[in-house]
This record gives sequence, structure tokens and C-alpha cells, in this order.
Amino acid sequence: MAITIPIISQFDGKGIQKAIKQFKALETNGQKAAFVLKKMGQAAALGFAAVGVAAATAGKFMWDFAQMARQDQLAQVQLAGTLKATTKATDAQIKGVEEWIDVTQRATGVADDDLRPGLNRLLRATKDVSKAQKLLSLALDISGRTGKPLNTVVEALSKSFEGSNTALGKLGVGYSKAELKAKDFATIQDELTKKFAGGANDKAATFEGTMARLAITFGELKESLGYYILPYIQTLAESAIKVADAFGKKGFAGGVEELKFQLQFLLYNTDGTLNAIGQQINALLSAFNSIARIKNIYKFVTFEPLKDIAATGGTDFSFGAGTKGKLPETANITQMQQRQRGVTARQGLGASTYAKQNPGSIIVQVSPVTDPTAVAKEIKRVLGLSERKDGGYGIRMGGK
Amino acid sequence: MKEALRKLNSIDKVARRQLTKDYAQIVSPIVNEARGLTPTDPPLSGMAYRWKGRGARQTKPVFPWAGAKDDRSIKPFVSGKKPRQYGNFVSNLATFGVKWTSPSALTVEMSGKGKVPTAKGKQMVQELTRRYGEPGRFLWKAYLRHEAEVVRSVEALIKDLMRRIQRDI
Repeated sequence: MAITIPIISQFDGKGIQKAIKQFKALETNGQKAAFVLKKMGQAAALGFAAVGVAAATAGKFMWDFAQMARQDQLAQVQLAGTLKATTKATDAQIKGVEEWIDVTQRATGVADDDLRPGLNRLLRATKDVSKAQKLLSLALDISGRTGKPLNTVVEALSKSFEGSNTALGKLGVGYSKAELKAKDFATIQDELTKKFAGGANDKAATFEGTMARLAITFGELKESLGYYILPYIQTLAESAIKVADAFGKKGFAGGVEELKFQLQFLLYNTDGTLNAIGQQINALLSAFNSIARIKNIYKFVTFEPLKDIAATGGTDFSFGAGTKGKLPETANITQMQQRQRGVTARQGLGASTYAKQNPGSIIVQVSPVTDPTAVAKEIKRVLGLSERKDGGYGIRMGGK
Repeated sequence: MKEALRKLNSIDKVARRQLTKDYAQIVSPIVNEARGLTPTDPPLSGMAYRWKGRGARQTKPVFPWAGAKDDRSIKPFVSGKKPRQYGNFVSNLATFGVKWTSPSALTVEMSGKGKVPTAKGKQMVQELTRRYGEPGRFLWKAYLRHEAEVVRSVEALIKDLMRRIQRDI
């Protein structure tokens, strides 16, 4: 069969016509909104790039963080469902389990995306929360010592609890077939607990483990950002419908224009100043930037008031750099702190160098990367300035 | 554009053939590079032997690897044929392009792009990738290296063609 590389080809508009026909066939506004959001998700980079060059990166990340938060939300709902179905857990108990997962992920460097499915599996096997938690801790220790993936160890322990020791034998934890046949699960569990005790902590204390724990902190911060944005995306049903209508009437370009218009009012007041949401997102992004200085991950631009964007020659709607040119004076010390963190992050200067170049500036030092707890505390302090009433916002420290 | 080519053919066949020659000249870097990238010897030792492939329709054998003959099957093309639809598939969309018509082209160029169901297949893909890179190993790689200049030149050629057609209508 031949291979053809077309250099110039005819445009076949049938695909687009089919999409528009499918869209028009959707009956409800909810379906239309879902259709558009799915298409926007598929072309997220293109869509956000259309609202301004500087918005491409920040907008894409915002969308991704909101998706991360949504996935996290779904995972929490699934775990809660399993808890209720298998153990008849109350809401308070479910909350306790979520807090335990949060503590465990920060202590071990294993993300909640891996812990929840593991706990889910063990709950289905044991039908008891405390037994499942103990087995998960054991699985983390075994995984830490042996290097086997957590889900493999969890599966083996679950099957062993259910009566089949074959998977446990294949795990290579030092049991022969005869031994596994002779011993009951409780004995095996005690022996494994003694043998692999501290495996998870030892792994967490290594450099790789420390980096993993720091990554967890960043991941949780990203999810927090996403959680913050998510309600506004979710409750913007009316805006989404307007975007969907624009998509239906004016095509993809029209839909993006309408999205740009709607996002503008998400973050800005009618007079062009940042509203509470925009200011809070700026605070979060500045916290991120201060950490990015250490770990060189993302360096975010923060939102400027629209009149400043106009003054600096930005587009009519752009996620302007919070550090473009000289910073305007402000009596708001917190805002100044946050902006200067952003400056330091963007310029890549050390705190003392920046202080020498900008006398009178307020510099906030962030602890070295070897102490993720201190970093997380710093993030919490910043986030604590704007904590949500429902308590679901900000970094939970798990007792530390 | 295809209509323009058909129109030119009806107005001036010599000019139509000259356009094809000009296009071949423009795209020769891609063709030469692709020919250089394809190995003379069989890419894998097993490809030296005859293999007709599976299926009820067994036409030309996919292997043995033909070496120089495979090289000659990498050619530029200009097509004025009308696009035709067969269900969801539309043929003849490309107007200007490069094609590689060897029976073994698809196997060596694109193996590994989609799912590989068998263990032996995975082994073949792993070895091809190790030796020659990711799918899009020869022709696509050659195209990417010269894409910018070739597309620019072809667009200029097309503009000339359209101007010529407009003038002659």
C-alpha cells in the first residue's frame, strides 16, 4: 500500500459541516454547553491563544487546573461512594478518610490519585475502613522497600485477604508457596508489617522522595487553584450557554469571542479593575511564582487591571505581566509583597540582589526546597489570607 | 486548484507538463533526502525474505525489500483528479504531494503508529524504532526537513498557475 504526503490539498469541509449539523441537532442548552466545552477542551491551547498571546499559557494552565480539580472531585466522589456502599460510612468518617489520604500523600510522596484507587480496592476486599487503611500503609511500606508499583502490591494484598495468595507469592516478598498455603492472612500481615516497617518513610526521606513530596505540594496547589476556578466555571451555566449559542451561530471563532467576553467579566469589575476573584487568583499565582523560583516550574503572569493593560499597550483583554515595567505604588502591603514575589520569580534574582536593586522593597523569603513542610506552610499562610468558608480551599497541613 | 490544472491542460498541454516538471524540481530535495534515508539493504534481516502478507487478496508480495527499486518508487505527483467520496473516505484530495508506492513502504515507514496486537509485531516495531526512529521514519522525516522552503515554493508556483488561468479565461 502506498504512502502519500499531500503538500497542498483540497479543503474538505464535510467534517465541519457535520459538526455544525450535530450541534444543531442537540436539543437542550445543557447538551449544547457540554458539546462546546468538549470541543474547547480539545482545542484548549488554540482557544486560549485566541484571547491574547499572553493568555495562552496562563489560560491553558487555568483550564488544566480546573480539569485536575474536576478529576480530583470525581475521585473523591467515587471513594465516598465505595465507603458508603461497603462500610456504611457517615459523612464525618468519609471526611476523616480524605484527611488521612491528604496526610499520607504529603508524608510519603505518593499522590492521592494513586492512594484513592488503592484504598478503594482494599475497601472492597476488607469492607472495613481501618483494616483497609492498615493494609494500604503496609502496601506503601512494601512498595517503598521493593520498588514495586503501589497498585500491584495493593492488588496482591487484596487478593490475599480474599483467599488467593498467588499474587502475593509473585510479589517476591520472601514467601514460598508452601509457606503461603500454611499461614493465614493475619499472620502474613503481621510478618510483612515487621519486615517492611518504615519502607515508605525511608523512601520519602530520600532525595527522590523529597522531590515527590514537593511535587505533591505543587499538585495540591494546582488543584486548589482549579477548585477555586471550578465553581465559577460550573456555575457559569448561563455564560456557557451564551458561548454555545455563539458557537452555533457564528462557528468556532464566534464561540471563542464570546468565551473571551464572558471570561472578562469573570475576573474584572465593570470599571476594569480586578474583582475579588481576579485578586484571589493573583494571590495564588504569586504564591506559585515564589515557589517556582526554587523549583523552576511554572512562572505565571498575574492579571492586571484593564486600564493598566491599556496604559502598557496590552490588548483589550490579556493576562498582563504583573511585573511589566516599574511597579505602580500601592499602599496595600500584601499586594506589594505578592507583586514583588512575582518580580523575583520572573527576573530570577535572589532576594538579596533584588533588595539591593530596589531599596525599601519588602522581600519574603521562602524556605529551601529540602523542607517541603516549610514551603507548604508558607503557601498556607498566603492562602489563609483568602480562605473559603466551606473549608475546602487552601492547603491542609495534616496536623503539622 | 484542481480545476485550474484541468483548465490549463485544456488550454496548453505543454505548459501543464512544464508545471509538473517545475514542481518536481521544487520538491526534489524531499525526494532525494527520502531516497537517501531509506536503507539499501533490508531494514531488518527478516525483510530479505519473501512475505505476501495475510488476507484473501494477495497481490504483490510485501517483502523482500527491493532496495534501489524501492527508492525509485518515491516520486512527486501533481493530481488534477476530482475528489471522490466512498462513504466517509474521500479520495484524490491531494493536489501536490509526494508518494512512495513500494509494497513495503507502509510497513517500514509507519509500523508502530497504531496498536500492535502481537508480540512479534511489537518486537519488529521496537527494532525498527531503535534503528530508524519513530513512525514517519523516512519519507515523513525527509518532508519535515524541507517543509518550509518547499511549501513556500509550491505556493508561488500555484499563484503563477492561477494568474495564468485568470489571464487566459
